[in-house]
Amino acid sequence: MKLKRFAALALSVAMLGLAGVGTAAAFPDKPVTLVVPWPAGGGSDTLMRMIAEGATGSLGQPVVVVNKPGAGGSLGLREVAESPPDGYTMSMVATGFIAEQYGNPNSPTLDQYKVVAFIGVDPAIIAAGKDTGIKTLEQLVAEGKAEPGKLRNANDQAGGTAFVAASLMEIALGIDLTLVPYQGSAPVVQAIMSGETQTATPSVTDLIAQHKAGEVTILAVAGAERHFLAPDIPTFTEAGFPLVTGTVRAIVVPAETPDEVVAKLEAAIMAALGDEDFKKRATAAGFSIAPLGSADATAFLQKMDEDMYPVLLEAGLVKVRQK
Amino acid sequence: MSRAGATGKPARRHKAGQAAGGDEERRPALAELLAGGAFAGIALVGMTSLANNEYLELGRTGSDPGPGFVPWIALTVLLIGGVGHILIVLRRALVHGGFRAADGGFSPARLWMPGLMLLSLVAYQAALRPFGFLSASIAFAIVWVVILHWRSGEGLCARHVVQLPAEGVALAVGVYLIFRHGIQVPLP
Amino acid sequence: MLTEFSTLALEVLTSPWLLGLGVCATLLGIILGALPGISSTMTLAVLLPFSFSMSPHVAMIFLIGAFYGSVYGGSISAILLNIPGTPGSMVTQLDGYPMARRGDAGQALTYALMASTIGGLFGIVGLMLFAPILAEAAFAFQSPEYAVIMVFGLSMLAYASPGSTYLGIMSGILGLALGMVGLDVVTNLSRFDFGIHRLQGGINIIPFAVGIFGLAEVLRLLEKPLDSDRSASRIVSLWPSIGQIAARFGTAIRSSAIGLLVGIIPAAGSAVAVSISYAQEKKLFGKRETFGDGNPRGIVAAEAGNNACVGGALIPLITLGIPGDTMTAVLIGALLVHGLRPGPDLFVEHPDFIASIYVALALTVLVTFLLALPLMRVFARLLSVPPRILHVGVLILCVTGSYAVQNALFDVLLMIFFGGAGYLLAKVGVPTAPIMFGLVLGPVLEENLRRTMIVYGDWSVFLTRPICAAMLAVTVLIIAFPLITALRQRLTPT
Repeated sequence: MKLKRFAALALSVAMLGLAGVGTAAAFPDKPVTLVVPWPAGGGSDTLMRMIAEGATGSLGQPVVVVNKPGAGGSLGLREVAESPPDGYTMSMVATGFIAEQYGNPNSPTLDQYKVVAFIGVDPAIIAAGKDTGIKTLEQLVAEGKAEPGKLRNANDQAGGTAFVAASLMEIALGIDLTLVPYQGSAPVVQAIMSGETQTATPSVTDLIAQHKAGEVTILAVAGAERHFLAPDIPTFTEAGFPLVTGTVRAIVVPAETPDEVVAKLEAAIMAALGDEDFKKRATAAGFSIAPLGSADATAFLQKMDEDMYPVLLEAGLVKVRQK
Repeated sequence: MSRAGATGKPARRHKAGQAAGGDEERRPALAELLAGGAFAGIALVGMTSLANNEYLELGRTGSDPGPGFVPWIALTVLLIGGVGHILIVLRRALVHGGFRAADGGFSPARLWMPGLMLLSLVAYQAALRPFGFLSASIAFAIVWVVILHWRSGEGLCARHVVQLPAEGVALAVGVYLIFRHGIQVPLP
Repeated sequence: MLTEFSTLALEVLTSPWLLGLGVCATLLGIILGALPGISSTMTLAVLLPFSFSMSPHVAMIFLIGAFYGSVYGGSISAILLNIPGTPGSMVTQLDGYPMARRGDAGQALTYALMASTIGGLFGIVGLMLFAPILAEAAFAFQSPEYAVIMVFGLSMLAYASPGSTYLGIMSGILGLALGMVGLDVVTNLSRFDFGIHRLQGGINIIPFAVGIFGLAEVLRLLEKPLDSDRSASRIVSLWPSIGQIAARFGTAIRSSAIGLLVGIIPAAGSAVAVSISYAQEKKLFGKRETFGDGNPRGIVAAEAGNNACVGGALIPLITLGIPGDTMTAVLIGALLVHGLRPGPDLFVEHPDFIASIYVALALTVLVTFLLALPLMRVFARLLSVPPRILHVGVLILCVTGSYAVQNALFDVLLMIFFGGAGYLLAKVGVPTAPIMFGLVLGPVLEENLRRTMIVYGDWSVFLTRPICAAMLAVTVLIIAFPLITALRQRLTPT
């Protein structure tokens, strides 16, 4: 009896080993988890749920969005980095993750992941409050140079997307802003509208309605081209200050995940991103969709990592993993 | 008058209002010392953590008082307040001639069951990932339904042998179904 | 606006489908809100995908129904089981649960429902009549004012906690320190993590409240043999007398006003609203009534506060396009999918849509009231199951709810830790409720205090801004008054 049980156990262990070899063919035979390291209900969460819905169809197994918020996303990301590299656990990463690597000793690093796909960049903007009278980027530069540090900018916490965007804009424009941190985008909008800060650097979607109502003026968009929601607003590059930054979104898996599995996930996500119906809804909600496959996405994130490091260093945000 | 004495005023006012009986009533309980000790202890642990945090001072920029500012204030007040509370209790003990006789609040007879519950909850939590939510919850529920049934002093009859485990299983499965399938919480 | 409102209201009231949808959404909201760990925000996030296929007007009836229902639903588990269903209901249980224990569960639920309805109606009125004025006035409140409001709230709580005032103050400060655990909002640096990377996420209010109230209570009951005396399960009466209700009417109105105003502040949320409204009532009635042992006024303060908060949170949404809290942020998400981008022009461009928000909120307040009346009896009967089932059920819900908040097993461990700690602290005579208030208000205080310093660079700003100075003066008076009276009593020979 005992022997029989032992044999059964040994057999199942062997089977598991075999299964490990044969995953690629059988993958996926159970639901795939897509971790969103932020609370339910946010912008990225909504977008990921739309993508999960689309990817479910082409993958043949449900893609389930699981929110694992905490510590600016690094708790969820770390959990994914340490999860079994079998392709059943994916995660979304965003701009903040690049900064978090150098600011938080507990954050995972980019090389702990394989990038499955790149979703797009929601460009950052810089907007000025109504009372400042600033209408163009030139006026802002003039005002900023006149009295360094006098202009206050509303952004998120040190290392967050809007913070990094503001830091990059300071360098590109050659001005010095006082960066005031707020929790999330709603308080940022409130801050610039109430006049507590003169400028703000959130995403286009956060301020476009206020811009159209004349409450604030969006001075420039930090995208490669003009934003579809704000076709009349120039880019930084057009205005003579080359700069592209914003909320970068990509999907990653643990680094040891087999390439065949990554390829299957990539195909499913790219199919979801390419779907016309999805594109229509995502665009209506204000998300920029510019999909890149695994190879291009990896190159993009690596370049971003390299580009951002000096900026973070200058902003005093590199506390660990100095290069 | 010491700082502790000054902050202790409201407490004394309150206690004075409560004490109506004789001297025994006015004596502080030993447990009250523990309260002060707990606050002071927590403050010291927190202070150690703050003092050893090499990153904190890196974060100070401009006129920001820094990430250590409010915590240091809070912990300092907590430490002074905790020590102050101990001193007040000791003074009251001195004035009224010793401590009140223990009321049995900390006797093993009362503490063993809550202690057991805490231990079993920790085990339950640890079992959630390896065994899955459903099995761990069923085991936990059956064990505790039986223990609580015994604790309620009702006798055990034949039907309980089936009924009690069934109740445990029903509770665990019910919660599982609602959370896992009703609202799609990804339970382990 | 009035014509749009009445047309739409008529349309909804005559359409069985829309009415049915409103009822279903509200019922779903009540149930999800009553489940511990499923906050109003999560309720909305879970239901959001269903709204994609609806027209914006219908989506609003669906989502606002679920939103408001969940806010009320949170009070049910708070009163019956001592575990908060949502952060906004954690104050409800301070007095609701003791009431239920002594056999007045039905009355406690009635008070909660009445107060919720008054709060909800107050919120609608505030939203419909004063939205533009209130939104404009909210701009006068900036970081320094928020910081002072938090000091104000904390100081009132400290002076009106049940049990020893001194230990209450200490608990509040302990809660404040607990609120500092994790990544700092300003610098993103980790504090008090003791090398445990999970602690960087901070202490979530739900596992904390579930542990320190729900679990600690079960632990306390385990000390002695469980009595099969069903005193808690008898529904003596569902209805308090008219006089009893009328006596708390002022509380409901005051708390509604606070809930409405706090709701307007972005990122403050209902937990802050109920903390402040409860504190205010304690301050007003702390001398004549005791709180924390089953005072209906405590329930009324909390429930009126959090339900009025719903209307308040919608004000910046419709006037400025800013979500007032995380729930309204999800609502905006639902609108964006339909290409509706709320902004300052919403009033002018889409008055029909604003009307649909009014109608949705009014409908759900009404539906909640009508639904909850018959359901209350059923809910209260929950308590008549044998204690073994009740307690084990509560324990499993404590574990599941703590996990569900952030899908993290670590939160379950935190809940167990705080359950044990809360149990022991209560045993040595430390009031535990102020810890929760410190945990809620502390981080908001710190964030705004430090932001004030970054923006103005000078402490004197607290005295030069008129609203700040006035509120500080009131705070100082509140703190000083009991001290002076105490001093006078000591000096005058009796």
